[in-house]
Amino acid sequence: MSKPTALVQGTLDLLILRVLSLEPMHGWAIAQRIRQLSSEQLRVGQSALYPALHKLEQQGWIEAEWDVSENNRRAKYYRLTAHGRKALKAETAQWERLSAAISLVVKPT
Amino acid sequence: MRWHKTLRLRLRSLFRSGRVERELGDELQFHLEHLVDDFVASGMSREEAGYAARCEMGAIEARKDDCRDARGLVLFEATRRDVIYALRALRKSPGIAIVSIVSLALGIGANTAIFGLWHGIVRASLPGVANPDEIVILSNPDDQGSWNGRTTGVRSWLSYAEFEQMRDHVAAFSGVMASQSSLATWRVRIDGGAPEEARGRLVSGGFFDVLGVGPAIGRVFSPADDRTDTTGVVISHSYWQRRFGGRGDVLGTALTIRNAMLTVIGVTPRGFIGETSGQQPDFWLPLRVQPMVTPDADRLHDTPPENSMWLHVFGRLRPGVTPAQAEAQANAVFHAGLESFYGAAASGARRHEFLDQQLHVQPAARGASAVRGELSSSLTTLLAAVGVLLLIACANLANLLLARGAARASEIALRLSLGASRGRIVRQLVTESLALATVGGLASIAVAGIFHGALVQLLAQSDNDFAMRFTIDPFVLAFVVAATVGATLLFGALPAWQATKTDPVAALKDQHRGAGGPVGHLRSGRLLVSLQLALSLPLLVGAGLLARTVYNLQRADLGFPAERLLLVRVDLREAGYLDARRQRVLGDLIDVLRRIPGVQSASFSQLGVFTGGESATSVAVEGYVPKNENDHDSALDVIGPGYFSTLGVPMRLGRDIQDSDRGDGMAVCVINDAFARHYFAGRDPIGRRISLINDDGHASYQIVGVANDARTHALRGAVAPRYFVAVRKPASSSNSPTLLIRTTAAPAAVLPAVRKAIEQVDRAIPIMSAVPIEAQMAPLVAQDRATAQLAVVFGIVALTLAAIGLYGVLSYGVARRTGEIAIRIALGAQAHRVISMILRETAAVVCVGLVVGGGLAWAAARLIDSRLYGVAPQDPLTLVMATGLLLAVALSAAFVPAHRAARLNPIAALRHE
Repeated sequence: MSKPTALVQGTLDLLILRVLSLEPMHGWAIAQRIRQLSSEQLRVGQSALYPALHKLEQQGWIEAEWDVSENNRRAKYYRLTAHGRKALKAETAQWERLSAAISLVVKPT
Repeated sequence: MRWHKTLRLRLRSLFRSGRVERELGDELQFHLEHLVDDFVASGMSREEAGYAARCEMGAIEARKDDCRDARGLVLFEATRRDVIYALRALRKSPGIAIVSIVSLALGIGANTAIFGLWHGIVRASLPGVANPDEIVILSNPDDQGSWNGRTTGVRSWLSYAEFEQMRDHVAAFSGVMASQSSLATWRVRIDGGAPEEARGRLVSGGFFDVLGVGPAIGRVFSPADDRTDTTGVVISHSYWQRRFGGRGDVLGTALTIRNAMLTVIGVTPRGFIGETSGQQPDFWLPLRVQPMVTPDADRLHDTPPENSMWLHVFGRLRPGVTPAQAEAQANAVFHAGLESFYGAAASGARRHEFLDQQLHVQPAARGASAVRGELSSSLTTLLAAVGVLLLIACANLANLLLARGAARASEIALRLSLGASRGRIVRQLVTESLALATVGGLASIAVAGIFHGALVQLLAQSDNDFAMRFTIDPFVLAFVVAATVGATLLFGALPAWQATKTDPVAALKDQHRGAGGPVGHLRSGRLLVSLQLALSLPLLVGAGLLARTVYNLQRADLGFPAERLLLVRVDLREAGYLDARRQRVLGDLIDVLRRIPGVQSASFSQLGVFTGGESATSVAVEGYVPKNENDHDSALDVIGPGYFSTLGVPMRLGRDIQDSDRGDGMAVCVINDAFARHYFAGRDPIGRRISLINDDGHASYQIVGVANDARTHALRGAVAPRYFVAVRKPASSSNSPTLLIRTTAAPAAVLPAVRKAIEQVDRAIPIMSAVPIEAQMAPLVAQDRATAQLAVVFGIVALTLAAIGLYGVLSYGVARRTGEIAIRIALGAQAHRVISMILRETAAVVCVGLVVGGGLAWAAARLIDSRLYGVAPQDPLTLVMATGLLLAVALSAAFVPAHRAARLNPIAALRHE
C-alpha cells in the first residue's frame, strides 16, 4: 500500500537502521522484516531500499559483508556500525519529536 | 576513524569499480531470486513467477544507477565513462581524430612557441638569478640596449671609475657589479690550439655575487677579484658541454685572448645566462684584464676629458630599500664623482653641461636586453596573428564536429528519448572534444620546441648574438593548458549544443532519409565559415603590408647606388697602428686599393656603412643661434679622400674631401644636406666653421662642401645632420675603419686582389670582414623579412583553412539537398543554373566574411603601423588585392561542390532516396 515515496523524508533510513539493530541481515530480509514489524502496513520496494542501503554504507552508518544466506545463496549482509547505532538513537529521538508534533496537529481536540 | 572508513569505501568504489559493479549486480539478483521464490510459494509456476518478479523489480539498470548515485561518485564516474566512451568514439573515426589532433598540435604549438619567446624576452626574470626582484640597473639601456651617444640627461652607460664609485659608496645596495655592455666575439686559443671564435663578456668581481649565482664546478669571481690581478675565466654550462664535453678537468685549461693568458676556474650552473636576456655568453672575463684583451685602449683608467662609457651597472637593493631611494643615493655619489672628474677642466656653460647627467635606477629582474624594445612589438603582433590562426583552426574543427554531430543525430536522439538529459549529452560531447584537445595539447609542446628553434634562428638573422633556450616554465605550461581548454570550448561547445538541439522524434523518423541533417547544423556551419573568412582577411592584409614593407626597404633610395660596393673592415689596433701612423697607413691602403684593376675608386670611413656604429657630437655652428640649450647635436664621421665620389653621393655645393686635406694643420669638413637645412637654413654654408663643444674648444672645421643626404646608418627615419672630417682633432680613436671600394664588376671578383693588396701594405693587419654592400645590409631587413615571411605563412595557412571550411560546409549542404537538386535536374534545370544556385548561397557567406573581415583588417593594420615602410596601414591596393585573393580562393573552394551538384545523376540520386 504505502509507497516508499509516501514515507516521510528520511524515515526509510530510520526503519533500516532500526531493523538492522536487531541483527545483521541482507536486503531482502530487511524489506520483509519492515513489512512484518509494520503489520504489513509498510512495503519497501527495492527501488528505494537498495539506494538507501548504499547511501548508508557510504555514510559509514552500516557496513556490508558477503555471507551464505539461510537458503544457501551468497548474500550481502548489512550490519550497524557504532556510528550507525549513535545515528539510530538521534534519528529515533528526532522521529519521536516529529511524530508527537504531527499528532498534536492532526488529532481532533 | 569515520572519515578514513568513508574514504576507503569511496576509494574502493573508485578504483575497484569492476568489483563493486559485480557485487551490485549480485545483490539485486539475490533480491530477484527471493522474489521469484516468494511468487512460487504463493502458487505460481516458476515461469510466471520469474515474469512477475521482473515486472516488480522494474528496470534493473535504472536501479543500479540509483545505487551508483547513492554512492555519491556520479560526477567522477560519469566523467570516467565519458572519457572511455570518448576515446572509443575517436577510435571509431580516426580520420577526424587525426585531423583534429594534428591541427590542434600545430595551432597550439605555434602559439606556445611565440608566447614562450615573448614571455622570455618581455616578461620572464633572468634564469638562475636569486631573488631577481631585488636587482636594479643603474645604466639605462634604451630600446636598443645601446648607448645613444649622449652625455647629457639620463646616462646610458657608465665608465669604470663611475662603477667603482657606485660599488664603494652607495649604501642602498648590498652589492654592485658591472658588465661589458655588448657581448663581444673573441678569438680564443684553447690550450695553445688554433684560434677559434667564442662569445664572452668582461664582468666585475661582484658579478656572480650580486646575481646570487654559485659555480656548478670550480669557483666563480668574488668581489675581491676587482682588487687583484686575477686571470681566471668562468665558462658557461653550455660552452662546457659543447666545447669541453662536460669534462671535470676543464678547470685549469689555458685560454689565450690577444695578450692575456687566462685559466678556466669554474663553470656556471646549467641555464644561467648572465645579466642580459636573449644572449648566451660562452665565458665571462674579469674586468681587470680589459687592457690586455683590448690593447691600446685602457678603459679602466680614464683621463679627463676622455670618459669611456662602456659598462652596464647593476645593483642588488638592500631589503626594504626602494629603487627611488637607491636612485637618490646613487645620483648624489654620481654627481660628486662628475665634479671631481671634470674638476677645473670644466667651467661656465660647459661645466653646466657636464653636470647635467643623471642615473636612472630601474628594476632589472628581467635583465638588460638588446632586443626587448625592438622585438616585443613584433612578437605581440605575431602572437595576435597566430592566435587568430588558432581561432580559424578551431572554427574548422567546430565545423568538422558539427558534421559529425549531424551524422550522430540518430544516436543522440535515441539517448535523449531514453531519458538522458541534454546537459548530460553536452557534457559527453565536450568531453570528447577535451580528449582530442588534451592529446593535441600534449603534442603541441613538442611542436612548440621545434617552432621555437626555428624562430630563434629567424631572429638571429638580424642579431647575431640573439640566443634563447626553449624552457617550459610554469607560465608557458599555464599558457598551454589555457590554450587547450580555450580551444576545446571554442570548437567543442557549439557543435555539442547544436547536436543536442534536436527533436528526438523527428530525428529518429528522419534517420532513414540518407545524409539529411537538421538545417541548424548548416546555419551554424555557414556562420563559422563567415567568421573564418573574416579572420583570414586581416592576416592576409597584414602579410601583404609587411611583404611590401620588405620590398620597399630593399629598394629604399639610399642616395647612392647600393651595388658594386665592397666594404672591408680592418683592425688597425690589432696591428699596432696608433695616431699619426694610423693616418699614414690608411692613406697607403687607399693608394694600393685604387691601383687594383677593376676598382673604380676607394676611400674609407671610420663608422663604415650600416655597421651599427654611431658617433654623436655637440657642435657650435658659425652664425647659428641655438633654439634651446640642447640644440647642438650632429653626427660625425671621419672619412678618407674621395668618400662621396666612391660612395656615389652627389655634391650639392663645393667639393669632396681630397688627398690634400689630410695634411697637418688642415681642418676642413663636408656637411650633409640635413645639416645645411638645420644649421644654415638658406644661408651659404661654404667657408663657415663648425666647432666641437666638448673638445676644449680647439677643434674647429671649415666647411668646403655640402653633400646630398645619404642613408648610411639607418633605413628608417629621417637622415640626421652629419658632418664629415678628413682628420679628427684630437686624433681619433678609430680602431677598425671600413675601406669602401667601388668596383666596375661584381665585388667578389676583386676580393682576392684586395686581400693581397692589404697584405702588401702590412701582413699584420687583420681583415675583420669583407662583404658587398648587399650582404652588409641584409641584417637590417632580416627581422622585417622574418616577420613578413611568418605573416605570409600565416596568411596562406589561414586562407587554406578557410577554403577547407567553406568547401566542407558547401559539400555538406549539397549532400543534404541531393534529393532536391536531383528533382530540379530531373525537371530540366540546366547545369549552370544549379551551379549558380549553389554559388549564390556561397556569395552570402563570403560577403558577410569579407565585410566583417575588411573592418577587422582596417582596424588591425594600425597595430603594425610602426613596422611599415613606404606603405600606409590602410593602403587600398593591399586591401583590394587581399580581398580579391580571398574571393578567388573562396570561389574555387565553392566551385567543386557546385560542379558536383550540377553533374548529379538524377535517376541514381532519386532511387537512392
